[in-house]
Amino acid sequence: MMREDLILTIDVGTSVVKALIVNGNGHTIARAAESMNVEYCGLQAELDMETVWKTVARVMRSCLNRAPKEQVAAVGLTAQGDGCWLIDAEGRPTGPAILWNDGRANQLVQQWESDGTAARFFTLNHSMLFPGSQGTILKWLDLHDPDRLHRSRWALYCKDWVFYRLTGMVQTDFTDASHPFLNIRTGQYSTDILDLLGISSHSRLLPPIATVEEGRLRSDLAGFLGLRPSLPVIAGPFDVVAALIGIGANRPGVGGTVLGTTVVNALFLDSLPENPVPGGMTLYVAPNRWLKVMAVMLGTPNLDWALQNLAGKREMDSTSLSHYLDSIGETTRPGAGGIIYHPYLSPSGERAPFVKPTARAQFYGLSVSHRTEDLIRAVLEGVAYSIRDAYEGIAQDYSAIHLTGGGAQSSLWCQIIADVTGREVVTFASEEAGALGAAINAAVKLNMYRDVRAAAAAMIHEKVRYSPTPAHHTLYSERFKIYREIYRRMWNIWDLDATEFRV
Amino acid sequence: MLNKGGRNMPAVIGLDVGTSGVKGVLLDSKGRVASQASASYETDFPRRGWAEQDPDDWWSATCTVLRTLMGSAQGSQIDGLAISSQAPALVPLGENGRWIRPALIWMDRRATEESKTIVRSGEFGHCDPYFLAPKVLWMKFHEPELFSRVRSVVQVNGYIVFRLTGAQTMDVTHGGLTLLWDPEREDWDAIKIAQLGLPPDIWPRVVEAVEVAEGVSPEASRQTGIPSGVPVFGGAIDAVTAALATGAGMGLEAVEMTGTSSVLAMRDHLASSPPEWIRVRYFEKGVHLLLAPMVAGGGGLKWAARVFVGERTANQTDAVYAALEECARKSRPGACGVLFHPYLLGERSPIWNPFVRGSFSGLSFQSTRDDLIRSIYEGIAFALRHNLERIDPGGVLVRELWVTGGSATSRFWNQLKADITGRRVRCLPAAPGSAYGAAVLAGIGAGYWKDAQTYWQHAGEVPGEVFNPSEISGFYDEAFARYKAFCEKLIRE
Repeated sequence: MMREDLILTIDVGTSVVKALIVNGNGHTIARAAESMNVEYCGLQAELDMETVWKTVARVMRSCLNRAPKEQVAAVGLTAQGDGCWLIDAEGRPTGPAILWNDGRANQLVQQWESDGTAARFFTLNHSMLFPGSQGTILKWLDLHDPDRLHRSRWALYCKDWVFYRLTGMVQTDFTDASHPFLNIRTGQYSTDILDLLGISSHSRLLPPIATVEEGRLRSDLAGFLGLRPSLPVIAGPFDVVAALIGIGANRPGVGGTVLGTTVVNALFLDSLPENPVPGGMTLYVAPNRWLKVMAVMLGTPNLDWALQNLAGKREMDSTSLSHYLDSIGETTRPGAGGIIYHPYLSPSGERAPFVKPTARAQFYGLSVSHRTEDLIRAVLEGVAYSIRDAYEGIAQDYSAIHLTGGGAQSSLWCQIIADVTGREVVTFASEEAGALGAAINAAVKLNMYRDVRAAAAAMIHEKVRYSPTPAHHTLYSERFKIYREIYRRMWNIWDLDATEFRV
Repeated sequence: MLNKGGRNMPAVIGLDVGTSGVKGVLLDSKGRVASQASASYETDFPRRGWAEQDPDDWWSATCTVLRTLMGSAQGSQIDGLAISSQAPALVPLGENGRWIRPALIWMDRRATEESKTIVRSGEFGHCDPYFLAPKVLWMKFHEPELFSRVRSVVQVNGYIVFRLTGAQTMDVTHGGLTLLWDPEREDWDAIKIAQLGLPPDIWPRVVEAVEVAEGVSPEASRQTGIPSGVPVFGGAIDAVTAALATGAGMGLEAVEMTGTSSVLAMRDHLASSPPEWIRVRYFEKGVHLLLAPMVAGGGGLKWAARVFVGERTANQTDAVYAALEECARKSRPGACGVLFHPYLLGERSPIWNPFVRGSFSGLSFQSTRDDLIRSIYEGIAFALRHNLERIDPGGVLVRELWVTGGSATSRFWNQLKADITGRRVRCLPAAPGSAYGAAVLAGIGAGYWKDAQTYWQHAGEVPGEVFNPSEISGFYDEAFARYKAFCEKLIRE
């Protein structure tokens, strides 16, 4: 094992590209980042593919300029999942990338839900179809822009596009391809699914699948970046899965939660449930390895919204936010004096563990004695209830939650999540879990470590463990029953149209 | 203050023994207010949900007010005295009329279990800790030793009548709030009393509102300055005298008496009244009022001031309420989908559930602070409409809503109430209140005026700014449908 080896690791998010240089202990030596502007137009969300690549190249170079680049032994890579990144036979984009949060195919999904396609799809893939999934986008293009599909040779994901530009190789991996294309049992492309979605005539667009994408850095790029030619490039799983690796949540029984704009809750499974309850997503990760993901629509924006609109606090820096939340912890009691908050603030409702586009957020149980602080605490608790609800939707036991994302910065929130779920909550020193996960993957491929477990032991550093307080867990479990009962009763009320008033 | 009517001008006195104090009005025989006085006292909250007052505090405040009025009425001839009060309350008296324990006032919520027991018995319709019967049951179960010494159960104004005259009475308007009432005979209902296992002999004599209960006793005369022998009338609950004071209650209008909570009152024109409303006798024979006591009211805004503006500034009330109203104006009708259910302390009519609590629903991250604040005003108006709809779904019986009390000063809120209820709103922010109504009552008792109509013809036309429903009124139907659906689905036992 060569301790002096460094890894350049890249995480291509939706709005920001990050690069880190980490050493064999997982410590960050250098970092760089640059933001990108997603083109939102109506329901559409697109990124120019050449711009993405150029941004990645710039961020790599500026990161390398801050570290001993001659020690870099490999490039690790992860990126946003889903969406559709089309290129032609010469490797040129045939148009902008259509992203995971694009909504142009909303009606198609509604049609699939009503005509039974979505239900049949679930039995094959164990996941819910949504507008930003690649299969949906391909069908939409088949109906509305068939010429673009004819001009295209490959339908890639974001990391595959960047991997192609780094190595010249066309590949994808199980985690990206799994939804929606793979037979969830075999991990093979499923002709049944392609037939069901009406895109079997485009099957030639699907690239070969690797467990981990491995290639060599193109020599012209090596010169531009100042790296050794033929440096190994290892594209790990897409960002959600990489983040779970980066917080050591990639083993059965350990839940991984990313509490950011959305709240990803995930558990790795050794076996596939026979009759899964519809909801969330199951990914084929490797032979005999699956990942069940419940992505709750909104996490930290609930707190931001409440701070702004209830407490009149905007744009708080992290220090004053942390002081404010500490004061909430000191002046309020578990249970928020009886207030229950449902965190469905998104205008498109909720998608996990239940799918309900008309769902909206609410405060229930308000009394004359409540103060602003009680409402803010209720928001923190409400998000924690939604996390517990998501894990219960997975229906597999778990002993701890490994937590990352912006919400993990608040010790009050972490303790509330531990108390609500009754599970130990563990936070981590690195705030770049996705990039670290990609680095771990690369380190194993470089033989720096025997396997992912050994690499994780060396490269991941715990920050705090929060143990559940039994009395609080008992109280929250009672409140959680009410939380569920309320949204069950709200089900049809949400469908009542809230017409907007216009003059 | 010396009255301008000169010496020996005949006059009557009206008193209102309220939740926060006693108010008194000296009204001359020409219907002019000669002088006013008030004195306050505290409410004790010994435990969560309990609310008690010391009857001696009512009496000493009454003495202060009466002495002040008599001081300003030098030489006036006092022809009578009528008392209205907060209602109902449990005032248990023992041997020689001493009170046995502090009074459980209307706001006391302790009798929740007893209230459920009464509902389960199936004979009484809805119940709530607000009414008298569950309060008496509570005392029977929880303070049996004290209860065994009870010789009489009077009301707040009944206690004052007793201290003034020595007679133990209950005025007829209180009957509907006891749940132990026979509306046909207009007397205590011995069967209901027996069904609840309560003693048959602790219920005071029922008197009409304008009937003489007794004359002022020599001892009370010494304490109050009222000449001995001045007739004291039966009196009434405050909702009756407050309605009387507005000049309404006779035609096709409902009166909303706003404060921390609101009470809606209208004359009963119906063949059968909805169970959610309470039917009480008006002071005139053969006339009944329907009352919808709500918890929802100005208290919701007071809470909003604390949550949205903050503890420290919440004392500068006028500025704070102006700021809240400004926020509400900036939002749009319907508050962009945000709904507020204003049950911050449980709700009485039409929900009758002391456990229900308030809520904001329909929130998205596009909802702003202004929307949240507007939804509070709208939610309180929806609670009003909810009650009106039970009694008058077609909008034919209640043509006008007369708003009195604190909230009536807000033109924004009056217009909102007109739009949400679809009814013309007449605001009477300066309506003189229950004590004035009690004085009118005393004047009728003393024979100055034959009835309320005669009095009002005498007093002239009722003023008040009028707000008509605007063109956006119909827009609220859909939001109100959501408001009701939420109540039906989320509020149960």
